[in-house]
Amino acid sequence: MIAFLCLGLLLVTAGIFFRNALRLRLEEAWLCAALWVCVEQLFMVRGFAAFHRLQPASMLWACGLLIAVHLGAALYFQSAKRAAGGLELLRAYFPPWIALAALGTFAAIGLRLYIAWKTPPISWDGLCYHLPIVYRWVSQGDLSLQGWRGFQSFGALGSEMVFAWLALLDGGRLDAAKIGQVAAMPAFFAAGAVLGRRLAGPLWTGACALASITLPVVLVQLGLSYVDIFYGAYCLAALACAAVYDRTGRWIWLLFFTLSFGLALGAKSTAYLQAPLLLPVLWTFWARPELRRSMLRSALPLSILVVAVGGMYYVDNLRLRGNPVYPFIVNIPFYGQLPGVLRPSELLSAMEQWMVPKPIYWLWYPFREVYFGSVAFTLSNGFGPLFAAAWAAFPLALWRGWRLRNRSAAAFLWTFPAVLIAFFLFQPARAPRYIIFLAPIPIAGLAMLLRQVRGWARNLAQAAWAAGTLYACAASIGCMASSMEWKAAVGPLKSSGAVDARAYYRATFSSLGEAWSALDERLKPGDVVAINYGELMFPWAGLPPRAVVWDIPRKDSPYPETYGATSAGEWLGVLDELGVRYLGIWMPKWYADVGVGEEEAIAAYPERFTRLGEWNSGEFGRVALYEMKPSTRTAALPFPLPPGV
Amino acid sequence: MERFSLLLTLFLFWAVILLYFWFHRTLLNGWKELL
Repeated sequence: MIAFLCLGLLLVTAGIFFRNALRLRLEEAWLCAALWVCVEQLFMVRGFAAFHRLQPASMLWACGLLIAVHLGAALYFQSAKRAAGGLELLRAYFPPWIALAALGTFAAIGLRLYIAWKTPPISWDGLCYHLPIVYRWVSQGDLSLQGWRGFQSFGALGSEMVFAWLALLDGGRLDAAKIGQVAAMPAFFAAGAVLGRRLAGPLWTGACALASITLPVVLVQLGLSYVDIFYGAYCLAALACAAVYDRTGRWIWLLFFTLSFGLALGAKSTAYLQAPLLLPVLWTFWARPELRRSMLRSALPLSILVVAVGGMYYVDNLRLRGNPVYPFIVNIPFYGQLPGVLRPSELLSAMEQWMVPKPIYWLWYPFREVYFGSVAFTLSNGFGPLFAAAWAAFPLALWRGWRLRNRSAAAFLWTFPAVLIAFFLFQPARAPRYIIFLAPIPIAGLAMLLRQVRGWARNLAQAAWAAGTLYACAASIGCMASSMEWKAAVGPLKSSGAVDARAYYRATFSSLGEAWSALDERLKPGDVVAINYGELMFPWAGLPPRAVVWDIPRKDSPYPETYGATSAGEWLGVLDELGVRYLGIWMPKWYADVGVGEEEAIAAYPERFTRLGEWNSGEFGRVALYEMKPSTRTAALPFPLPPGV
Repeated sequence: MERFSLLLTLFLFWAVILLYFWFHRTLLNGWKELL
């Protein structure tokens, strides 16, 4: 809980500072604070990691110091003449119907977070790499991922750094990191508020802010260790900053546009669809000649800032491996191929068919959101009722923004089709979760249309808005409550107030859960566990995590500086060198060949392995757990172990 | 004309919201598990 207390204090003190020092509107100061704190988190983690000092105590001290600095700076800039009171503004931003929606929203978010907090981490990608990466960083005290066998170590890891920041403030436990996407919600909320205020006025500010954070896909992901909310929040924040920059011409907004653009680049490796976010700023450059000079003068320093905040992953890949998006092979017309290991088409490109049979079906998908044929919200889909209404009204909003000659609104709204085009051209695995930030754009456009209604009609419009918001919350919670993951948690929570991790994983991951429980009974802190298949790696470290886990399949590795072993002897040599004590062999149902080579190697050296158990399930396949007898023979590793492991 | 188009927008807004509720009504069933 200290982690979230620190986060809250950093936000509030930074918000007061920006409001006092820059005389910003309430929601604009909040947006700047939210973005600024994200940047601080990144630099704190990277700074301590550079000295191998990624430790709970140092992070706590640094946060305390930073809060004091924020507070001091805020008091220094405090003026005798007070800005418009926060309470009055809040009353204006949340008229009765919207205030009701706010109550429902915060209740839904509270319930969602409570269940997630009490439940062991469950999300697929979170267990595969987001949390194992954070666990490894926090246990070794730096950001090395040496030997990590997977494309993630070459990607943007800014969101994992925020998870690590939370984990360190949580004393090294991963409970706060497991719901770490909460840290992106202030920026998401504030960006929605800023856009609502600029496009539709104060009466729709709170409405747009709430609409942004009650997208069902956001409510589902909020309790999962994914990174889509981070990416969505930063992209929406970039658009909000661009809109305010166009309207006010204040350079500070160009700076915050740059920061959010850089944060988005570093949050998730999806740079290919971020380019259209530059369009509103380019439009400002073209339409406001008086700003050109300052924009040109700051272009170079701001570009360097983008790289420092989140672009360095791409620069490093280009410098070291000749391809900014390594390991993905890229074909550039008239140039050739950039080197890599994976073709983008090898990604899960069938994902789109989980939701629509053909791309054209996306046109009416928002009115009935299905997943594998049945109506559902998941971590991949769910944009909610307000988006459906906004989707229908979007052409009208575009036309209205254009006719009003409202450049910042028009530029903002045109970003929607521009990003959609980039998404359909460049993204092989198309799921709404990759473009969460797009949903609030038509929603703000709808608010812009509705701002013209007055009197009883406005009440009726705000009532519909509140109904849409509350329904999104109720349907998201309802949908999650009927899932197996929630059923397995809610029952024990109701009866005993706690969820037993072993029982929970046995209920949700059948054979794998059995193996994790059996391993957890034996595991001592610092034991080394090897697995043959890197998916769902995290629980192999124990419940709670306390072991070191290596993904060592018996085959060649396509990645530089990772362990590869083709023969049984070589494979055994690597396991010995790493000091492996337990071995988990998973033969997943969906890949017939995975696990076969390792089982053969185990059969060739029966004296070295003791089988502790074997479990089979129709859903996850066969899982076997072995204990390895220590060997006197050691093999030379292809590269040394990282420090602390 | 302006007034008419505003009222039409408002009507359509409510209509889409209610239709959406109807299409997704099964999602509320999960509350039975929760309560």
